[in-house]
Amino acid sequence: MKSQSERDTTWLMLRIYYYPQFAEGVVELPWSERYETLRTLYDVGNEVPWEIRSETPMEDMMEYVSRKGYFKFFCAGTTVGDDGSFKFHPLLTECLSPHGF
Amino acid sequence: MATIDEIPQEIIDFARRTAANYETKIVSVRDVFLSKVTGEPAAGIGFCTKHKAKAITHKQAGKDRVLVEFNVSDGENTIECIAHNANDKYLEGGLSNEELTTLMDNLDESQKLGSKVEIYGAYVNHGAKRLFVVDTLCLDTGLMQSQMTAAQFAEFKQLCKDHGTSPLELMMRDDTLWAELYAKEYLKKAILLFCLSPERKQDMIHIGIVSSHGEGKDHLVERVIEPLVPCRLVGSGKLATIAGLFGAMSGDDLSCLEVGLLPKMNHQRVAISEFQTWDDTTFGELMNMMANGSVSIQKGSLDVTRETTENLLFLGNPPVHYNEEDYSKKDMLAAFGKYTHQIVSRLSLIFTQLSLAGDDATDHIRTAILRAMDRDFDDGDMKDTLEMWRKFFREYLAFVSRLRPKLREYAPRINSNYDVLEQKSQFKAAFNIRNKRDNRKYQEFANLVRGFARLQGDDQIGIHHVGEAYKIFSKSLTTLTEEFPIKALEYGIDHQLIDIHTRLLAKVREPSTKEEIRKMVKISDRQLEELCQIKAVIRFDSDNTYLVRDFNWDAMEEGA
Repeated sequence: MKSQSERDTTWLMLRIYYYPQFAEGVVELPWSERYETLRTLYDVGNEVPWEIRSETPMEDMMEYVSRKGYFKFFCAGTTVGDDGSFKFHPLLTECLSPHGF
Repeated sequence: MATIDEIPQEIIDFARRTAANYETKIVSVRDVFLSKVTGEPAAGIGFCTKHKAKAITHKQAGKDRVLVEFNVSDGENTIECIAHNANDKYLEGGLSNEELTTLMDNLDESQKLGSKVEIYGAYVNHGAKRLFVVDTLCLDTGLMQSQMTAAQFAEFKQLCKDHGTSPLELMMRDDTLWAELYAKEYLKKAILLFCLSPERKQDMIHIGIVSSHGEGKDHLVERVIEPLVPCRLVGSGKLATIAGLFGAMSGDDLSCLEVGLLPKMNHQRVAISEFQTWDDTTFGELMNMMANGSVSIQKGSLDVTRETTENLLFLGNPPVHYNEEDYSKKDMLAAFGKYTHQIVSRLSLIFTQLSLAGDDATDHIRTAILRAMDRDFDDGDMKDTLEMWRKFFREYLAFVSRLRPKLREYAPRINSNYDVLEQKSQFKAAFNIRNKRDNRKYQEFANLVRGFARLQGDDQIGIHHVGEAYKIFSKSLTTLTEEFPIKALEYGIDHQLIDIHTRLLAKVREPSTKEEIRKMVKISDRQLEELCQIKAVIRFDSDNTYLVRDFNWDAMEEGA
């Protein structure tokens, strides 16, 4: 129970202080690069990798983020430990924009 | 920080009521100096610069009586004092043997460690001399200890909670501590961290600000920091000598070491203006002090260590030799001379920022300048209100400086946040890290976390303290590695234009008309014209479209 609470506290911190940086930084990437980054992050954090649904996967991705935003990708690239520690995928760290606060 | 909402009246009333009972204490022996003629009882605070015990052989004094001669100095005036245990027939104001022994012990500590002493007594004629006979002397911790009581502190915290605000939010407001200077939020936070009083060396927060001239750096010290907390502004270049800073041998007495500015401001803070004018050697002497919070001085027969546990604020301009073809932005800090890396390593936060207020704040800055020139802040209600908030928060800051929130319990999150910072390419670029780990930077980061907990008056670390430390450290890194296009400054380009260009670059990917551009980015005709003039944007007259170029603001030419 304590470890769950530790994890939740860390997620709250990440949501407040890091996600805005990520959301700001990832949209600065051109779509070709953004697609690869988001897809990699998704694959890292999910058992089932990003599904290629059509011949235009980048447009599928655009459609997906226009509906759901970037938070799912942020979560996928983040590992939170039982003690409240956390680690980002290097691609996610690269996306942390200094202008996102 | 929002200043639109009024401060709840209940909080204002509480602060006014509480601050009314606070005294203003300063390190000075001037009152004692001024009582020399009248011989009225007087008190003062200073440092013992020398002391000597002498036998009294006069028969009226009694047997085996001792006279202690000592000097107490505040750096400006020196008072020749005596204390004794002789009979009143010989000289009034005699102390008991125990009192005199304690007095000598305190004098010894003051001289060797630079502790302040508070003296009470009156001037008398003794032989051909006019001397200050001390009847009470105690080590002074008055400037470290807050006059705010625990009950007042708890009530203030509760009031903030009840009204949905926090002490930090109140301190950041333009109608409390920042009426006379318009500054960005992160700079306000950095200055408030600087205003905490370090009790131990691990508490010290040193800050560097390198910005363009005319940005109000001295104004920041004079109108925000000095009225709020004890802080001394050090002179530039040759006007700040090593002897003046650390303590010089007395010309009259070679067994006496005068009080330098740094020992004098122990547990307080010192601001260094135009630090780029200092010699390398001065920075060299500062290094130990910045890391260890003390200075050791060996001169003549003296070997003393003086405590200098204080926060330093370096304010200056980039060095004159700087040019972006041959140097990186980090080299702007070469103003610290040959000890640049060592000094930078000891700075908790460094901001290399063209504008301290932001270019979008011109109106606010101009209003603040005109109000200062009209002396709006020196008269009437405005003056009273500002003084009330300063008095209240001076004691609040002294109180929270003593809080010791435990960092260990939050170690996993502190470590993870620091790891993120350390992984950033800017981190290595900024601090020239040779080893994989920089333990000093880690300690400085942890100290920032604790600093934010203190500013909020919290005795336990929470996510917002870690988050705020991450934000300000990250901002510091960003300004150090990204935000100082010197050449752009020379061309008269402001930050707003650079920001607009960044947004144009992200959104306008193909040649577009002015109307199309304006749908994506807000830009005036004048700004578009300026971008065209420096060729950051190319205009095609044939179809009235504009192409945004990748542009290097450091070199003022097309980017690679």
